[in-house]
Amino acid sequence: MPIEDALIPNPITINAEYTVEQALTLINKHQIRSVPIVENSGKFIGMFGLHSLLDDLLPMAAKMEEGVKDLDFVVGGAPSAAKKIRKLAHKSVLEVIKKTEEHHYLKDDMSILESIRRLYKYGSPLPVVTKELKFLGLISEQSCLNHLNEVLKEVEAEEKLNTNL
Amino acid sequence: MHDLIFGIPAQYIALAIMGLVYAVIIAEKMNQAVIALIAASMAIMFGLLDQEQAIHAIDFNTLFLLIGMMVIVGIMKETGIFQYVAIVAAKFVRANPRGLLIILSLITAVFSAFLDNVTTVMLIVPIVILLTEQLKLKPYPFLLSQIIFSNIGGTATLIGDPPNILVGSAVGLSFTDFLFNMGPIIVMMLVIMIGVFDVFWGRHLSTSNRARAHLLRYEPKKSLKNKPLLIKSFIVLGLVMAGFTIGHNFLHIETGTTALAGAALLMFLDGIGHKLPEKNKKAHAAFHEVEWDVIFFFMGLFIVVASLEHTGILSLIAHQITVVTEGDFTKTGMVILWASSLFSGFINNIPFVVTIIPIIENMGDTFGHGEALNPLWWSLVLGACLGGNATLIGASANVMVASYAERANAPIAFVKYMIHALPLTILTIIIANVYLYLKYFI
Repeated sequence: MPIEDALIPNPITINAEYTVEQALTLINKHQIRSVPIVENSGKFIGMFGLHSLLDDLLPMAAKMEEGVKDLDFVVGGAPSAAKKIRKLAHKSVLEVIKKTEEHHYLKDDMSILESIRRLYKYGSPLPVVTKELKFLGLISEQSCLNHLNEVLKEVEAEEKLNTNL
Repeated sequence: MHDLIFGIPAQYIALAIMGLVYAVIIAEKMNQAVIALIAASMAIMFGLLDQEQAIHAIDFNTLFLLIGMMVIVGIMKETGIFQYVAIVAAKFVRANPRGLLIILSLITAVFSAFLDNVTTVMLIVPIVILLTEQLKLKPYPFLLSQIIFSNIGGTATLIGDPPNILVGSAVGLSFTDFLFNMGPIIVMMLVIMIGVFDVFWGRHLSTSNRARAHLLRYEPKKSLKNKPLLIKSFIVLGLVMAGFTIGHNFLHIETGTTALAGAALLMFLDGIGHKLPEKNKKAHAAFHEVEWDVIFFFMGLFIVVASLEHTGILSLIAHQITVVTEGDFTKTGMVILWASSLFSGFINNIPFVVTIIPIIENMGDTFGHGEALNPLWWSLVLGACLGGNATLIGASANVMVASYAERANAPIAFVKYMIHALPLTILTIIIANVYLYLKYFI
């Protein structure tokens, strides 16, 4: 598996029974931005993240396609956004997550460069799954760079060996 | 052109091709521009008209007017001016839902008179949804009024609605002709419609003071994004309006030329002070604002209708209509009004208008040419534009508002819309009927 070595070791996961509040507590505690939702059978369901929550704080008119493109004129919107968070707290994480598009997954047989391209394009971390959507782990910008550092060490060791010969 | 093609009379082939266009549009199985182009190609390949005649059939004045206005509005919307006007208006009525329904409807009517209806609703409806969301109001009455008022407002001027552009360009009616003949009746209709909307919806609307206070804190100035561009846009828009009126009436400059010149001027002004790559990028973005599928839909239709005209079938239909109306001018006008409104209520009014223009021109043999036919043109314009209100698919603006309603999780049901809109449409057609009769037919 080409990207196996770039995975985050032992990532935190949650199951579908978590509420938004519980998931947020977990996210705060571990200082992470998103957490994968995985069934007990190991099937990947989606990513719960702060980004998807932000979406729920916006008025419908700003989220829809060809909608209001700028909300700078809305002064004093913080209390109503705060109230929306209160409303969301007791909802299940499943109600809040957005559908994970196919290009947001990484497949286990994907090349490292394609993983880097997707991380660059769609943000970090991204889930890695099998064809049957079995969850294998997460890959992040940091885990990817760590892996490349390891590769660099190997390359340098090899170069050193070659010059010594 | 041969009278027989593969042993079949050319008229039948021309009719079959036009029938195919209508069938595909009604069945909604293919993009309208694609079927129009396929039909136009068939008309040429079957020899109903040759390449030169086909190109000659395209009314480039209409296309230039559409393209020019699309570019100008596309650049202008980046300035945030439309959002600004809507928010200022909402604050002007102190965020009172009843006043808001009236003022947003009026804004849409006025914008629709000077911009394409679809463009207008695309600019105004998102902000309408935002305001109703903030005031915790059901968006339906607001969206319904957006549709009705955009179609009514669009009838008032030469550039308000495609049927007007088509008629104006084909017949040579000017911007001021439209304004003086259609303006008064449209203003009257707007006043009546405001009354109707207030009685049935406006006076029942209420919201909390807290929600209103929140909306009153909005700072509309912040939505104005590019003031230099706004000033340039207003200058160009002023010049274009002058071109439509003074330029057309005294210098005989066609409206299509004026609109394209305006678009070119605005693109030039927008590029000043930028390096070439940035200028190119801006011009590219401005041309991207043109809805090319609409332009090619028109092109295809012009060719298909010309092929019908070449076979002589349209003059035959014109003759038949005058036979049915016993050569009575008033009766013919009323038939055109009601038939075009009925037709426009259910399918796109553009192919209908493109087809009926040569038919009415052919009636000149019975009723006299030139200005003598004007009452029939006004009947067509009023019927085709106002009829579009009848159903949710009657005009492109309706479809656009319905699509926004869906995106906002407040879909408009087809039947519910018709129950409300059909009586309103009939009311406007009756008002139009009385006006036409009193002003032109007695």
